[in-house]
Amino acid sequence: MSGIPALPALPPRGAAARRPVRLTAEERAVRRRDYFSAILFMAPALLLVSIFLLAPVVYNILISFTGWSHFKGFNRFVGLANYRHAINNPDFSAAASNTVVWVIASLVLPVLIGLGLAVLLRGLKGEEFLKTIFFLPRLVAPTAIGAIWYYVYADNGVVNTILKQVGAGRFAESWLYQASTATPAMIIAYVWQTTGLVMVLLLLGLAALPRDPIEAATVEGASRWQIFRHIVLPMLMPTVLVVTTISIIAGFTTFDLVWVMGRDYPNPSSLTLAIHQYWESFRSGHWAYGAAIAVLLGGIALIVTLLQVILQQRVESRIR
Amino acid sequence: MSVAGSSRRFALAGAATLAVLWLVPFYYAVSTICKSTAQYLSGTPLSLPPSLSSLPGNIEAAWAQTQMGQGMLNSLGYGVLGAGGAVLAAASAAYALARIVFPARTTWFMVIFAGTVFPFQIYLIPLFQGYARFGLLNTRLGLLMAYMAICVPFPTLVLRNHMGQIPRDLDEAARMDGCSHFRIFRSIILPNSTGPLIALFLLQFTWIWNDLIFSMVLTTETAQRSVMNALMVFQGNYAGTTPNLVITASVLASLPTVAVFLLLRRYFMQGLSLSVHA
Amino acid sequence: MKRRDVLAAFAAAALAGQFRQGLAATDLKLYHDKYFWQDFLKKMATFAASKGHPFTPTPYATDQYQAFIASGVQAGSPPDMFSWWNGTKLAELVEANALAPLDDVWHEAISSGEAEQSVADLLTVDGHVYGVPLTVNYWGVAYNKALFAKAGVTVPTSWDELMTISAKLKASGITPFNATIQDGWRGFIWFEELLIRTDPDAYAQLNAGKIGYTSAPVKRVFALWGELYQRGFFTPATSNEEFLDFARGKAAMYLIGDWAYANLMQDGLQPGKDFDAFIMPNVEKSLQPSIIIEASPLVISRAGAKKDDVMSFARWWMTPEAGVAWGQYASLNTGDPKVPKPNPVVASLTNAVTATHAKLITRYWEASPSDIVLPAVEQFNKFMVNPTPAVAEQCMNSIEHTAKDYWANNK
Repeated sequence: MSGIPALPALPPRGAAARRPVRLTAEERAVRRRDYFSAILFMAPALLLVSIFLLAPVVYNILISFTGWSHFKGFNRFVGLANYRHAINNPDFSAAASNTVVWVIASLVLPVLIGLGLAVLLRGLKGEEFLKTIFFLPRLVAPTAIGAIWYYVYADNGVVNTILKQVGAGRFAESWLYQASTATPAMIIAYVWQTTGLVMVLLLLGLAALPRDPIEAATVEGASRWQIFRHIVLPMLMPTVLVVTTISIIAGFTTFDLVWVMGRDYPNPSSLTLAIHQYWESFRSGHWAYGAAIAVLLGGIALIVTLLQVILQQRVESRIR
Repeated sequence: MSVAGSSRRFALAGAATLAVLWLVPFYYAVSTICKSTAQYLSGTPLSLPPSLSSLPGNIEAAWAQTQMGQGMLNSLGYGVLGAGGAVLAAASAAYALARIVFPARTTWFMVIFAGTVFPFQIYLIPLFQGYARFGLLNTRLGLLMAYMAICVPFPTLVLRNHMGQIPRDLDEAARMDGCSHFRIFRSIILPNSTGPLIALFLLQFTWIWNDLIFSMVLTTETAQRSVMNALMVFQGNYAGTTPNLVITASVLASLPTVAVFLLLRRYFMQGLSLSVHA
Repeated sequence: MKRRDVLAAFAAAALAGQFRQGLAATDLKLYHDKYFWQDFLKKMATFAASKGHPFTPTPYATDQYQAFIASGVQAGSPPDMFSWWNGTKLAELVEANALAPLDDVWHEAISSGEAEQSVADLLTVDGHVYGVPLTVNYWGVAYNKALFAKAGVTVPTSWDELMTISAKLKASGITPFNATIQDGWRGFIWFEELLIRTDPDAYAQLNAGKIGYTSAPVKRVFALWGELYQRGFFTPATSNEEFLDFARGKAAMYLIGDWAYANLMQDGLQPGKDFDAFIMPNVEKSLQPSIIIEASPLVISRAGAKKDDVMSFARWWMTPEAGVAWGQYASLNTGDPKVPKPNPVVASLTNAVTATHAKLITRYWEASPSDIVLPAVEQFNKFMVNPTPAVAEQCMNSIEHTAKDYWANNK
């Protein structure tokens, strides 16, 4: 939850706009001192961010254009070779297509179920209780969730046992070992974990909506669905957009859950792009190639965020 | 109205069914931690444990084999110092950005905020390589600094918005009286921001506690690794581990954040709404 | 308010103090990626400390271990002392100028009869010996004596016999072979074994990049491997309790390095009584007996070699005193001639190797370049989960793609 919020609204400009035309010497001195204090106040944050985040980003981009050697490090400029290697690498293609499945599923399922639950549970008698049930998985760390679901899907685990008990034993499967089932199985665990959060975020959005238009429409005899479709949903759109962006980026960078559940997979490197990146760099020592994958992931995140900003502005201008 | 009522009952039934399904993994986890290894291996995964008598033994074994005490202590340190330091650094930066007039504020803000635009994957290799070079690999300090840095940008955004909304009369009067920026920050702005500060601290603390990838990449020795890393190693180290112990360890590792949530629910919800409305 | 501040400051200071402690460790660390030995190494550390050679065994997650060492080497500061492998893996480190040769140490030890030239040969790169042996392991076939008796079969002396007893075991409801992809690295075991049993020359050529992974010998291995799977001779590859599975009698035979015997003993089997081991017979009758050998050295970095405590530890490790203790704690063959074999199974396997003059063949993991081995193992894993001809074809093509790439850049 640390990163990936919406891009900020720009700060109120009032103070800056009130700039006087001419400054006295004393005022200039105050300004200089203010600038100096501002830098001092920002210094810890600036230092932390530039040393541990921004410099690494630059370094990562640079090395993605170099060649690697297992023990000698980055030795020569190779242009786009690492990126070309990605295109020719079957594990990369598999990981990329799995990641697309992840993004779509982790977007559609939690948002859909979460939206349904949010609308459904609102104002219900057992709202708090049911909300807590759906939110509960979110409180458990993804690593722990992965460990629990790992055994749910084990050969003698929960799923296979239930299948055998209901006489469907022939459908029992090594869920986390087969290319066709591993990704869906992990996505189910992921949906189980994230839907509650999405629901709560949407409920917060719903709670913030103005009541008047809804009440007016009710008086005019609009059906619940009409009210939802034509009044609630458009007003909720900004929240849905933020939640969508969070979901997309979280979906395609999910690491812990997939790692804990998927490291027994025959070739984990083909599971998702985040795992591919980790595996190629930290297990196989293909640092420069791993850096290139990270750049690709960063590029996708940037595009998604930009899209969200553009859509957000559109939606907001339509509401006003 | 009766049609709407029945469709609502139908929907409620659906939600209730879904809720029951949602609880199955919890039921599995809770019943499993009450089974001895022999009981787990001989019964079916969803069978009820015969008694609670195996639970203390499981907790003891999982705690010892994971070296969870060490992991929890480490994670507590990372969480408290990392989230605390980050929120303080963010508050101080937010003060400058929201309350001091100086040129190119937006640009300065964007420099700090740029840290949230990238997925974590882009930091891993540079941090690992850089840490290896400067001797920070497998040190608590190294991991702590990485956590702290990651937790700065988002609180900066939230606190800047919050501090921008605190009435200006307060500190303008104080400035007239010759108060320094530090005094204003310390005695006017911070006390007026405790709500968001606590909410943000909790949000970042939970994130650090739950993080796996940075701890995996930057620390792998028992003495420095976080509780989630310890859990991951235990789960993957099949020799001598059994499902009941791994799941006991998973539950143990999750309890602190669950407890914090239950105790400070209000602030948590505030933190969540911050992440949408920021 | 004030008092709370003071308390908070104290708490922060206490935590910070706790943190600083972690930075101060100065003792000699032995890095390794063998979690299943950590308990044995801890016992060894206690013993070593009592003899004036304290060290701290420091386990590292296997999948990150090579990256960890590699990054240290790149940064010019690898750990002083760490476990490694022989063959190509050792040569890669030597080529990166990361290791100090220990020719003197070996010379002394060999001339005093405490070390064997044959072990030194395993750890020699370009005429210099690197590291001291942690273990020297033969890869024989462990078999469950009770299950053999139950099915009325005896140790096979030829491939045909092996197939006959496997069929018999299968008919009595016993799976012949225990094999999984646990921990992600095991996929190569049967590939390598079947290749050296059918065409050892091709094995050498494959490792040197002279033939490809779609060549006839490799195809033959996959066909044979698939046939064994089809006949139901293997346990499911998806179990993650490989040692335990064998200890519980889920399969009659287990092709694994003799280091695993310690784990089988931990899981309740008695060496010699419950299980023993034999050398896998060749598929091609004309071939001379051979066995896979794996040497795991403890290597010393150039920086480490300059430190007295590191070098005196390395010398001590070569002595029978250390060898006997280590062999006993870990039930391992330490490669030290003065040390008695740690358990009867290792002893009988060693005797069989000596008696048959079996040719020692370097394990695939150490014989092929890492950049091929790691992706190849994943492909072998894939095949073991879905052992069909179609998957075999995919695996061969995929590895060939990787290998071609590698050899094009590294000739």
